Amino acid sequence: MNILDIFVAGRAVTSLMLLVFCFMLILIMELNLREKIALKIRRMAGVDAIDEAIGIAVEKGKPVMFLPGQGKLGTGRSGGALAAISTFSYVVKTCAEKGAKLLAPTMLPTVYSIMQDIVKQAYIAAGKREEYDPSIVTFVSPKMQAYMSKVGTMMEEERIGSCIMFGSWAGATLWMAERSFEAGAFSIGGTDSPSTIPFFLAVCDRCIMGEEIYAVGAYLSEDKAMIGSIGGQDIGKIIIILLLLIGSILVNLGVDVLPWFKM
Amino acid sequence: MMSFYKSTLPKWILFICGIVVLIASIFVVPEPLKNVSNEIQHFTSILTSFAICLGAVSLGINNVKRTVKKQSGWCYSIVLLISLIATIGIGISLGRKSANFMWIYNYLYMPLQAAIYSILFFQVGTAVYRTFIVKNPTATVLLIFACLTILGGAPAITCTIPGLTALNDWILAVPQMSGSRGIMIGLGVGIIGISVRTILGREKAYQMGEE
Repeated sequence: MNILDIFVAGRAVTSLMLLVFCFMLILIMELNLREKIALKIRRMAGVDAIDEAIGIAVEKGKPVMFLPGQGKLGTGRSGGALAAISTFSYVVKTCAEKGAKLLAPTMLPTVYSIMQDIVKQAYIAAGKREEYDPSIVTFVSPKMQAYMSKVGTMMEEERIGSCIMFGSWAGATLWMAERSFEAGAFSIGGTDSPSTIPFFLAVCDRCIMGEEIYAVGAYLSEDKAMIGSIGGQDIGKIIIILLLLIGSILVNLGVDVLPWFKM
Repeated sequence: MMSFYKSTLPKWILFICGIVVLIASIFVVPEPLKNVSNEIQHFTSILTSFAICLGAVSLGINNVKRTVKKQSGWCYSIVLLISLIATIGIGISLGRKSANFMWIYNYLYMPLQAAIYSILFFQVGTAVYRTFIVKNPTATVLLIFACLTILGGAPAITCTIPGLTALNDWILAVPQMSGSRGIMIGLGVGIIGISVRTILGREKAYQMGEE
């Protein structure tokens, strides 16, 4: 019996690569956690700007708005939603400590309940239980156009001081970013959706793009296991670049490498 | 005990569900395990439906509060509440395929949706204007490439300037494609990383109720 027969047909090589990569990630994560290696995470200007954004809002006496994107949990865009939740927990903690008013309208029902719990825990942890307001996080509508309309109005009515947009974004990106600019807010845009990165780059004051948003949780929490996994991801990227170079050379030599990945 | 229900139990449920789905999608597994994996994935839809109910209740409560307190825009909250109750009522009593429900969808919901989306046209204009202001060398490169791409997509220009279409195709196929593929590879690696951390319970912020 061929060892590759244990895998689903057509996915053997890619599955094997995925498993090797996962084990490597876990290994580096554990090594960093047990201080066998000492990995550090580089500065991320966009993430450092979160404190700046909250500070600006506090100085102006205006609210901070956090938008968790359009990526739903349980779909292919869960990564963006998870990254948005990670960032939100830091934003809400900082807002609670600095006494900044926070608004977090969402169109994601599953993310809504998680965000509610994060807000409650953050205010309790900051010793400001009495300041906890369940209407900080509001569910607007799962439909994009209704969400766009409501959030745009909220930005104008509440005269927000800063706007932090994080997660997977789609059609509502430009609308949100432009409306926050029109409201005079300092804006930070972070997304893992390649098609919406140009909009954030064009309109926002600071931009966090691509897989950087998945590293935000590790960067802000300084958790060793999480930093270890980011180190593992970087090694994975180096291996992929080497494989791309080898693949390019083989293809130019006339070797058809595509069937190898369809085994 | 509270910590067990709010932290330990969800972590174990997450771990078991993640591992079962991962194994069933990679390895050739017995039919019952495959069915369990499918059921777990179907369960996401059920959870989302419950979450939508929770969200609708929250939406209703917030708007009732706004109306009672007569906060700014309270009259819009009344419109929202009437629309919400009427749509749910008609949907439940007459069915989603009924003529009345479809009338709401086709003649109220769809035009409103199109009207909101059409405003994006003007916002694209203002965003493009601000992007094209030459602030530094990077912005200049962006301006040049953007102008070439816009002109390359206009038939009136491409028929008068020979080679513009080929240049436009090259921009899209080589520099643009290599940039976006780089981002896509990074995203793929990042998603695996965040998934491993979540399944193993190492993604701190996702654990509700924990610091």
